[in-house]
Amino acid sequence: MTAKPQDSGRHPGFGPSPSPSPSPSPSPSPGPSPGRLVRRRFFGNVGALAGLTALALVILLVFSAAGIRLWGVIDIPGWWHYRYDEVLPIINDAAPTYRFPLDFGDHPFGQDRVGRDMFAMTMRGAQLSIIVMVTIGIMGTAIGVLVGAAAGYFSGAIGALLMRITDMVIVVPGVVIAAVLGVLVGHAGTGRTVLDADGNVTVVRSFSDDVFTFLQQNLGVVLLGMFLGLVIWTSMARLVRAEFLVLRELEFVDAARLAGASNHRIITRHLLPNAAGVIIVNATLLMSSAILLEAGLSYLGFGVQAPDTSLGLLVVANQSSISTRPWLFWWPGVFIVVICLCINFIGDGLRDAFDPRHGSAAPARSREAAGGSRPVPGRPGTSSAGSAAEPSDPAESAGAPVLAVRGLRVDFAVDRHWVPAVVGLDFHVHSGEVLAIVGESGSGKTASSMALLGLLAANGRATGSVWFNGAEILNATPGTLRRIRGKDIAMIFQDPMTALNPVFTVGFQIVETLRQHSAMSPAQARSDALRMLASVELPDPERTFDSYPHQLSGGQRQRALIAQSLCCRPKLLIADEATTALDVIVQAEILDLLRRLRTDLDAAIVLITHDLGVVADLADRVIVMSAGVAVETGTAHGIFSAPRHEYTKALLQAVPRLGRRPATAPAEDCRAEGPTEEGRAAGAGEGRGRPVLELSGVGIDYPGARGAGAFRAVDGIDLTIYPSELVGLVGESGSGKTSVGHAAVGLLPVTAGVLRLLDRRLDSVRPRELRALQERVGMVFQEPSGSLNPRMPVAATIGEPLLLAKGWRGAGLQRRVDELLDQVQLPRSHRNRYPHELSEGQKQRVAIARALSLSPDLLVADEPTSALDVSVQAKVLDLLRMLQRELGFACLFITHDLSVADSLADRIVVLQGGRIVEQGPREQVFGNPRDDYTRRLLAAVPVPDPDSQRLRRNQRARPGVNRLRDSFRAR
Amino acid sequence: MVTYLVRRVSAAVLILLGASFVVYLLTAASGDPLQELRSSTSANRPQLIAQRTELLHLNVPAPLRYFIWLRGAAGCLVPFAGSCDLGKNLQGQPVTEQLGTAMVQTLSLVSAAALLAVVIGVTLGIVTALRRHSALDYGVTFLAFLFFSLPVFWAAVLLKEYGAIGFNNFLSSPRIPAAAVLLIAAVVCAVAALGAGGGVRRRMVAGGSAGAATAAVLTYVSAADWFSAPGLGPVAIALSGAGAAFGFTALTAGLHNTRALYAAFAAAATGVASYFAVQGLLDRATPLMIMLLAAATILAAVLIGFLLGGDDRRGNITAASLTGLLVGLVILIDRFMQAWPAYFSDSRIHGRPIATIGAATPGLEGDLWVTGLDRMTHLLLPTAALVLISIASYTRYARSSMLDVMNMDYVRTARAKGLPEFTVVLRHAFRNALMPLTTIAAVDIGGLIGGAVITESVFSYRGMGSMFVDGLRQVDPNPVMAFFVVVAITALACNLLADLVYAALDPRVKVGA
Repeated sequence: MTAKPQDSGRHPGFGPSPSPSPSPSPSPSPGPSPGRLVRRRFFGNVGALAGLTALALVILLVFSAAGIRLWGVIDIPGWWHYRYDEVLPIINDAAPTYRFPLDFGDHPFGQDRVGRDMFAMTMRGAQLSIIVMVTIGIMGTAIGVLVGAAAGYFSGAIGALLMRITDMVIVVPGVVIAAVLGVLVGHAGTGRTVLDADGNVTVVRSFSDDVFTFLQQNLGVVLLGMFLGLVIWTSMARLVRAEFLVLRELEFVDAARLAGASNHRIITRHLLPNAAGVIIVNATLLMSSAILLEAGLSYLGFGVQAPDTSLGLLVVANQSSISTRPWLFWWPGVFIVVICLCINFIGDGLRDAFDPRHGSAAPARSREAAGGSRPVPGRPGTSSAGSAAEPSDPAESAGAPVLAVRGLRVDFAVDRHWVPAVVGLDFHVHSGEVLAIVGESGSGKTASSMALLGLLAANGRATGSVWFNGAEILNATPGTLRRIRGKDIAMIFQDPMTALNPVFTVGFQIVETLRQHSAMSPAQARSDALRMLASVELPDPERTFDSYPHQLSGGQRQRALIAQSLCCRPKLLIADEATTALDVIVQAEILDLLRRLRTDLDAAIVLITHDLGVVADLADRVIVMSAGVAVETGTAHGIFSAPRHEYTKALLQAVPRLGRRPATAPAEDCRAEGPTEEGRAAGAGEGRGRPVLELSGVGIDYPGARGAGAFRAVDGIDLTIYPSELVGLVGESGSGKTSVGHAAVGLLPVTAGVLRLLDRRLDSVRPRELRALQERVGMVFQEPSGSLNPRMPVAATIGEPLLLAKGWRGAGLQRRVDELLDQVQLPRSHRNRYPHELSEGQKQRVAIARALSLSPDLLVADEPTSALDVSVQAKVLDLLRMLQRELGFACLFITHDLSVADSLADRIVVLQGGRIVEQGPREQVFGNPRDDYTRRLLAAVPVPDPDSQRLRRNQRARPGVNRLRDSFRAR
Repeated sequence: MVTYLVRRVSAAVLILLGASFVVYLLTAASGDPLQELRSSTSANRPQLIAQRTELLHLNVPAPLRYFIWLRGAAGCLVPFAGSCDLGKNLQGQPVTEQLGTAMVQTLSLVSAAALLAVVIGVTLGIVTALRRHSALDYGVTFLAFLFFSLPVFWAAVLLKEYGAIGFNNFLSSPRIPAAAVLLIAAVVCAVAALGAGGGVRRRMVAGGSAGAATAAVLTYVSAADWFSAPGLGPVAIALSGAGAAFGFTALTAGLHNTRALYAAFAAAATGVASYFAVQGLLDRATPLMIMLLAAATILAAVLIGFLLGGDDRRGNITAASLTGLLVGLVILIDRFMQAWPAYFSDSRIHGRPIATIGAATPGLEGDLWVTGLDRMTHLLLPTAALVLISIASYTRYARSSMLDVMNMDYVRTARAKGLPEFTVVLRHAFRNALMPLTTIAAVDIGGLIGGAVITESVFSYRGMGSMFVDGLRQVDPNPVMAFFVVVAITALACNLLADLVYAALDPRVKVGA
């Protein structure tokens, strides 16, 4: 399933700390540690707390009343004055003597048929049931975790075998095996009765009988619990395995492996602590089914054996008395129910405490998903400035605006407080006009657009005024909103992967929209939908109509989504990060499509984006938002050429621009038609020593599904990196760039060609040598949250390679960690923080520090800034550049963003479909690209400047001409 | 697809072989079948021992004895050959004979319980997910946990004691006292008000009308002595037909599709008219006839939908067929009710119809309706007990699955398209939430047979559970193995079925890949 980690909007309190705004670094205050957070949420849960209290009271009552006897060593008598097996004279027709409120009498629960005290029996029964339950729980948890962890981590033959064994145990209902085992335990110690020829009865005992007798005498019911634990671990094993399968794909596991961690260390230090939540929750649930299992078995006669007693045994012994002496039957049952109920409530509370979203543990991947709902401190002072600054363009104010928003305020309830996400937002948009709302994550841009149509999460509220077509629609009735949604106001969402329902065909979803808003026959709707699909330039509308979303590419899906949005000819289109998830070339096409639609439909468009290039490409007017407030409003031209607000200026400053960086190599190189790329590359390497990394004809395969052939991600790559060289590897998604990065450090095997790392062929080295080689490379991963173990403090993360490779400990390790923290410009006081207490940028700094901890010769940086906001990205790039100058490591910088590569790298390698289409010095590849693909890629990058972007767009329309080259030459 | 099935089935066979071997050894180790004979004092003891040793192949060591058993069991794979041999029990009867009747009993019990538990549990789960953090949510959550914590044997005895006997007492003089009417109406009122959602006004209207309707119905039922001679009559059938017409049209074609609505209403009207026509026919009903009538209903509905024409004939036909089938079902229920007085006054029932033990009243004779009622009254309590304990997990799973799905982007998209909340929830969210539920339901149904062991023992239901328990108690290995094989095959088949259903529900999953 392509399920995206869900929007954390419903639980804003659990989201990451607010993203830093570009104004001087707000380091998030150190929040509570994960453990304390879980505790706080658990104790905030009334049901869980009540369950815990009640269970504690029951256990206290039971054990103090019945006393504790262990192996004859410990013998604490209980306070109750009868033993469970004492036969007493029956008084008062054996009825309970309890009188409200505190008069217990002699037999509060009455007496059974032979006169034994029911209270004493219930206490004893509950005691044994609890002991059996806990034993089952511990046993089942231990086996389940072991099997599940092994099966999840070693996915090969071992994993398959373990899962088959689990299946075998699952196939047989627990009660069946348990019954057989129970009988086995019951019978085993007794030996066999044999009647010899003379008619004498003798008991023949074997050695195993003696062993069983010994165990039974010494362990008692604990033995039964241990046996039952053998059958009840399967659900735990499955869940732990599932958790491990998710966790082991996270980047911090790769990072740990690269740091030299053994399988054992990865499982125990990195994976198990992160699976602790699942394990604890399921251990409690295991216990609740354990007590029922024990009761059921005792009921059938296969569990605890008379003369001892358990709750289940008491129920069965007294079920015939239900009509005459109901209390005998009620009390043991009530105890079972109460214990089980308490455990269930505790388990439920734990589940909520560990994972308040009921969702996956994977860190959020989308950049804007949670943006709207993050708690953002309001800045009321600046809001009026924003609204006052809105220019009134005489040409536009001629007609009434399609949409007019006044004083919009959005709040989200966090821990019972209203936290503002948007404050005092004013804007309007006319037909045929494109208004861009720009801001970084947490700026409130998505929250404001969701508020317009009443689509806020349940914990959000919006106030203010939204006029659409001359009527107030903010907080209108559901019926009114429904008629407007999709028909008059349509939305396009960020992630085309998840915005379409995976179980319906594209055609069905468009037809559904059409028929919702106007009465038409299915045939009519179908032809309309096909026309819409054709108009968004989908190549084969008929086929697309019948396709499910997963059968289309990202770009096709986004087109289909746009077709669905536009099928009712809306007057206003809200595009929320509509191109963010797409590759540049597709993005350029979608932007062209939107531009054409604006003129064709004369619709107003509200464009919500973080990408200033997109804004420059499409917008007429721009609102810049920061921390929930519009800081600047103006025409696109004005904002880009003469920004007034500091934030806007900083934002524009932070955007990396293609062709902005001065040429580093002699300028004539760019103009010279002389040496070929290969020759130049070789020339550049001369005198710089042996290459750090050398790939010749490298191919990388991913094993295909059963029956299908392997998928070749990378094919025939030649690439050489010399010491101190910064090589930018660029390509679109699926080009194989990440595979190259992983192969370079030995995380992925090479299936063809030769890969030499530091002069050693990686395919022929032994594991120990590979370890030694990996100590000399570092890697920075894409996802700052995913590449740091959430349960490890910063110092442990940074120090792990030092500990494992060099065996450093104590003060020496601490000194080096402090040094590294200084190098990546993090305060030393952050050493004890956990990743969730850091901002995204800080997390990435920690990842860089870890990668540099062993002073590597080669650093592989895999999209280290793509998940960061522009202003943070700029700082991280500065840091990398500075460290590289200082430490002189070679760097393979992998990115999809040509501007980033341009701002950083000496040499550029362009990858397409697993093959290198072009490589050479930066000035040459970007200034004078030889390959057509490179040219198209360059032309598609939107430049954050409306005027030059218009020029580039026009150039792009005329193939073969590339003005960017000229802009390079001009410098 | 074929290769996928072959692979799955062969994996299942391997699992079955391994598990059965282990269970066979465990069973063999759990006791000595000769124990009781060894300590017996009868004169022909040696002959008896020899006879039983011969019968159960006890002279062969258990690991090898398994293969003797396996050879016999393998004969079951040949259909209609009569070569099926699962061994003999201690009395020397072939286990297959015993198994045949026991299987029918247990499967009818389990399938009814599973179906009801899934339907009720999932419905409650959806409602609580939509009304998250409401009093209704908390109430249902508490009840779910409570039911989840009930030991089935304990709950079953309570049901027997207070449910069955109490209800039988009530049926002997079916008058509902005014206080009880008021109490029930108040409870219904509260639940409706909590479940309605929306503003205070809406809640009050919903609660008030539901409470008033309940009170009215109960008063009428009590005054008219309805429980002595129950029935629905044309009015109730027409009302339920109208409700079904609205509901199914909204669900399938949408209420704005007037032709579909007309078609559904026409189907309901036809159903009510045929109520009078089929009464004579139903008096001589057989199961086959009821099947044919259902087919005729669908045919009629298709005709109605087609004749009404319009743009969307398929929509008409769907709405009409579903409505027609529901009306047919209501007519059937009505006919069962008509048979009630005859059943109630049968000499073998003694005016105490709700049975607490067994699967059928021995020696009861009557037509389809009376014997059907008899089966239902016997299934009532064990089914209720099983539903009660298994409903909780469905409620919880459906709730959390629904909560997950309601957060997905495509649900937001569906809302942004302007679809009514009803469609968003049922078509876009529920359809996706269903997928993880299939897996859980499969595992659960597989386990339900094992869980039925205890229920059967409480209600003296002679199903597979009692076969297993008796076999274990009397150290009779073959019935135990037979039980295990059936349970394991059911569990494996359920798992396979769940994967196939999953693939059918989710176009992203390719079977055979």
